[in-house]
Amino acid sequence: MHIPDGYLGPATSGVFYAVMLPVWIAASRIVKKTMQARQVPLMAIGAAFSFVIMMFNLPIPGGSTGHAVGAVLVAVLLGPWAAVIAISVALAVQALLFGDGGITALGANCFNMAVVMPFVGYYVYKLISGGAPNDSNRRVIAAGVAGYIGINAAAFLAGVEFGLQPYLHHTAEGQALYCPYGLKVAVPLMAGEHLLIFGWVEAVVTALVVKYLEKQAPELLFREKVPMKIPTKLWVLLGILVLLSPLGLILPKLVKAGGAWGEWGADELKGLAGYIPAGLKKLDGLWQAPIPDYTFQGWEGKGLSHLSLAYIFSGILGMALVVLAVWLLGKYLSRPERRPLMPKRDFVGRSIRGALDFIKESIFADEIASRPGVLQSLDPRIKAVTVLFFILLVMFTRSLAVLGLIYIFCLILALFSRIGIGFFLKRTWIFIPFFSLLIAIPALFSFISPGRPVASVGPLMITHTGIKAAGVFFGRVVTSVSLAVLLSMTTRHFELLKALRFFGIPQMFVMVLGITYRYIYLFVEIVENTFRAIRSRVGSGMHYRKGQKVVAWNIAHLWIRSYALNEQVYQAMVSRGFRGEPRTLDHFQTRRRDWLWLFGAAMIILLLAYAEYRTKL
Amino acid sequence: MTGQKEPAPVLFECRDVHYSYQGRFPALNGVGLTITAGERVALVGANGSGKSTFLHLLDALIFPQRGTLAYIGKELTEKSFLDAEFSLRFRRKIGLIFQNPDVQLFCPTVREDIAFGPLQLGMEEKTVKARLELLAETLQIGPLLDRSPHQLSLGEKRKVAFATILVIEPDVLLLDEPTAGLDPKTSTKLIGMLAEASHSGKTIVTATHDLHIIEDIADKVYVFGQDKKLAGAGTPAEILGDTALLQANNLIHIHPHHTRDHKVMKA
Ligand SMILES: Nc1ncnc2c1ncn2[C@@H]1O[C@H](COP(=O)(O)OP(=O)(O)OP(=O)(O)O)[C@@H](O)[C@H]1O
Ligand SMILES: [Mg+2]
Repeated sequence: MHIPDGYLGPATSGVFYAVMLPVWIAASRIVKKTMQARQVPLMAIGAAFSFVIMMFNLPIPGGSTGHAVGAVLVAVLLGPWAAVIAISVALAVQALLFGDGGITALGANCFNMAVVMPFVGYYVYKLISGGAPNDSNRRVIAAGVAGYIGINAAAFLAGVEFGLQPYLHHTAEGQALYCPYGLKVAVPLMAGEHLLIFGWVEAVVTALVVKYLEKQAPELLFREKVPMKIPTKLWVLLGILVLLSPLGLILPKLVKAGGAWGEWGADELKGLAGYIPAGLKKLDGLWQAPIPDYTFQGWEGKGLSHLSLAYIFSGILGMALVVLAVWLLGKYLSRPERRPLMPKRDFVGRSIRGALDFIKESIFADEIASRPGVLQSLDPRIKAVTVLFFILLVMFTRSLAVLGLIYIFCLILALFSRIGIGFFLKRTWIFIPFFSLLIAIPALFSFISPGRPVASVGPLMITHTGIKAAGVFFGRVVTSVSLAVLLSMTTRHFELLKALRFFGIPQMFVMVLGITYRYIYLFVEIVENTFRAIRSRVGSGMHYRKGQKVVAWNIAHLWIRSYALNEQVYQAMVSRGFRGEPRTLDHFQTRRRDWLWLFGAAMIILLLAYAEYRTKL
Repeated sequence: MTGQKEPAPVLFECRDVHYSYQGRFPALNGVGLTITAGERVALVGANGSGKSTFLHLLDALIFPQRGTLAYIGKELTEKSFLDAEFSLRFRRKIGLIFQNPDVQLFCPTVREDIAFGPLQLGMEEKTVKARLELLAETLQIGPLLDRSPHQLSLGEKRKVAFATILVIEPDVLLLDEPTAGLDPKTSTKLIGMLAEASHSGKTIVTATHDLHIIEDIADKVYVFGQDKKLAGAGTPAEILGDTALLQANNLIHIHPHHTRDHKVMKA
């Protein structure tokens, strides 16, 4: 459910950041008030715990495995407000350091998984468990239902966010600019997946862990009253408003266009040409100021298409070649270290491997970050700023050519930063982009992207708008993932976290991030050792019910340990003078090359934006 | 410490201190002792006899639930630490090394961890950096500075943990099992450093199971009994000679060769 960059348009991403800002502030005020100086270690260790929950693989009937998001569990353990911060921090670490979830999509991801999921889950849990005594089945069932409903609420929301994209962001031709599927496709897809599979995993994990904790350490479950004062209610209201606001944006368009996007005929659009552009431009101006909206200029006269077929075909061909090359390369590269085949059902093996991969990956990233390369030599703050601007350009551009150029620039940077191109491609293409490619394919066809047919595959028509929509969507995902990976690979993780100070993130959060990062490793090692111990004692062949219990028990146990650790770390901080207002060492230094780089990057970004504007590539 | 003859001032004075965790798990059942400035003290006792708890009390991380604990005449209570001024002064003077280095080292890098204490205690960033460099050299941890604590071996972690306290330059060092898990050479080196610190006038309180080292690190030994009270006190020689006491407190079978009755026991 981690939304990558490129799926959501800038407006949506921006709105969610705007919503999250007050929510984060409210959450940290509330937590600070109730926890005082203790909040720093508690949030950090809570975040590390949230991060690690996803490494526990749960066996599910049918021989497969799945993992929980754990947000409802964290809410039941820490209370919903503390959960907001702990999960947000975990999501931020995932996005920044491990490329899991987009950087521009972080606001949306936090809203779904760190606000809606824990709050919905928490209140469902409260509602059902009522005043039931500890260790009662009612509480366990309540936790299960809460987990199920919580994750489904988040998934539904993610589906809505995806589904709104084609309405919110499309060219005049009806070509989708971001996620190409409307509500009718995206919502059932996201909801179905979670109603049928992941919801149950979440329910089982939440219920069983709560069951064990009720028995073993009931004092570790959150029992306090959730502070809900007037400002809080205000935020809730704000949240609802925000959820509705995209509807507000698209409603006028829908009404005037007389139908949903995807059903617009050319004539309808043409008929509206007189006044829509002006209105839309005004709206667009809100978030598209850097790149003037050009798509409306001049299309009235030229009909639907002003792009040559040749260009589109070469674009697609290029993409196809790259895909093929990467695929072959990936196959070739992964051969020498091919892992022993592991049956999918081996949840023990998969959890161990998850932990090992994490450690291996981070050691490797550290090694790359200390190579003498171009990006490595730059000040982390300046590097982070420029990468962010490139990602923003990627988000705003509508041109395949611009995306292509930025992508090539990424490859060149990787080369000059002594990252093997093969490795870089493998690392950036493995998961998100490949998955996105699959997603993009149906968008080629007329049933998703109506427009002028270009070719047909059997009864299916590939349309010109479809090709562009799929190409731009996919290109955007690949390029933004590559940029984020470049940043995290060439910067030592702890420096990247510290560089966040530069973006105005309070020192307290930066410290929480640092402590989270440090304890993730401890927890990952615990996960690894635990599963090794399980394997040495019982092997991996056990009935899934037993397996589920084993996993849940270990999550519960990890929480008990986390909690003790949190107390001790708090004491260790106090012992050295911590009183709730952290101070950290600031050792960044900018040199001339940093400013040169900044200037160069700014020029490239402006040039690309200008070129797109002038030439309508 | 001015005149040679003058008795050293009392640093910690505790009387009948009780403490139990969550009101359910007793950890100390009435401990009374005094520690004077410049003294070297060892706390020994079986697992769970309350040594760590006692050190945490001395560091004012927890407070007696019954009985009193005073630092240079001022009683340590939760309330006294609401006073930021006093808290700052106290934290600058006293340094505790936790038994578990994974607790002690909570920052993402060694460098930040060492800088944490002095920064919170209001030291100038420049001074912190200078001290850090110096300390890294004397402890030979320069290459570790930009590494993450989780990448270090246990011995390296202990060394770094030591650095995080030394950098504050406290007058009192509270050490919880500093040699546990160290190889003999590193252990010896650490003891050397403690001797040096003691020469420069620091008070050193060490909790340990390691009877090997107590002669080197202490002038005074307190034995914590399994009833979580003091079971005995004396000079290292006196305590090491008291086989019955050591045996009763699970201390003897660990390093039996250290006691006179080694052969008798074996027979
Ligand atoms: N956080 C805690 N919660 C509950 N009980 C605790 C906690 N910490 C310590 N105890 C209990 O308090 C008692 C004293 O513990 P303490 O850690 O002070 O012993 P110790 O002498 O340092 O032991 P060791 O030699 O194993 O380090 C033990 O019985 C222990 O079980
Ligand atoms: Mg101890």
